[in-house]
Amino acid sequence: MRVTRQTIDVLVAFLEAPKAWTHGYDICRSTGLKSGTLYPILMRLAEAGLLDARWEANEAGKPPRHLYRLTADGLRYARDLERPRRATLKPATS
Amino acid sequence: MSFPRRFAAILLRVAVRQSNDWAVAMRNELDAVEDDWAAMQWAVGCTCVIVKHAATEVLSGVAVAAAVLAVCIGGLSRLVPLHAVTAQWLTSIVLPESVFIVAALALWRRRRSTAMGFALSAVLLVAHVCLWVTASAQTPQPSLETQKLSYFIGTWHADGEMKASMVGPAGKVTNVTRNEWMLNKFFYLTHHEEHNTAGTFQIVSVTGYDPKTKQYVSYEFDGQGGMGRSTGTVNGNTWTWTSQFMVGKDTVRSRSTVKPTSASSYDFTWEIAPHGTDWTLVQQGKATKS
Repeated sequence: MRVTRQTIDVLVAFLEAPKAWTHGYDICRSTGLKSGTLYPILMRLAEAGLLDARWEANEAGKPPRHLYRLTADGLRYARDLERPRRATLKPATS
Repeated sequence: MSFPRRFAAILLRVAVRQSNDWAVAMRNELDAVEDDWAAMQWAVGCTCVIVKHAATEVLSGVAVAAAVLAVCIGGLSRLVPLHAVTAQWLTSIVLPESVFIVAALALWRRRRSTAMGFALSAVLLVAHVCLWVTASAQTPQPSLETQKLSYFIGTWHADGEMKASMVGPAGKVTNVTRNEWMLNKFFYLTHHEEHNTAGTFQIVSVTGYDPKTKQYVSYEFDGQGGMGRSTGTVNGNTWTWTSQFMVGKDTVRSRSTVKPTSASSYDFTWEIAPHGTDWTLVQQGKATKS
């Protein structure tokens, strides 16, 4: 799977609440990505088995929204990717 | 509802098909976007993703269809005799077209865009065949008489004897004649070089069939600045070419015959009649195609 800086941003965003289900628009806001960038990444992650997706229970009068959460593999993968990034950031942040 | 939000809603309604979960997910997220301009940006971004995704799938269908077509034309058509027109049509058109249609129908529910790629390929193949057939029907084709000239196409080496006559002393004659099709195989161009007892002669000519006069015609130009016209007929498998040329003030009639003895050899004679009907043999020999 192609891993871009934006993909890592998305994975890191999921790591902030690894067990929680998140909406697409919320990920956009937390990462600053546009919808045209975010959704191809989500599709690729889902296709690779790193992301779970499910429909939110219907609220009256509102269309159901998609929810996303990393799978166990996705979590492992995200942490592996995040580790070197955190190591690189450390001197700058300390 | 503000203009940007209405625009966003319409855009996503047009772009999204219910069968695609991701597209529906993108569309349904629109209500969560509070700002109207942000909603429009969201819709444009999502539409780009949907269109790009669909285009990729359509192209994947087209690519697979192209591979099928290549296998049919490049592989299967070589397994059947090339001269069999029906077999060529079957392997190059009917078989791939059937595969495209079956694939499009099979994938229509599960992978609509890929199926559309196959359907598009099927339409393009049919359109191509229709255009080709129409163009072929409109293009004039060389007549059967013209096609008989194909026997002469190629390079011929001739050896013969020259008799003593008004065109030169007796001796050996050799010549090389190179004939090649031109102008959609309606005519052939000849480069002819002859060595005989009178010298070396180079002739360029253009030969074809004239349906109006129902005879073969050849226009010749030689290295001495001369030009002439011969007319030809074919009787059985013997070709006879007649022409006339001037010697001083006299008109000399010329007659040459070509009698094929195989696909790559013929016997030839050249006779002249200086006074009208007194035909005299000037040359005779054999030619072979290399």
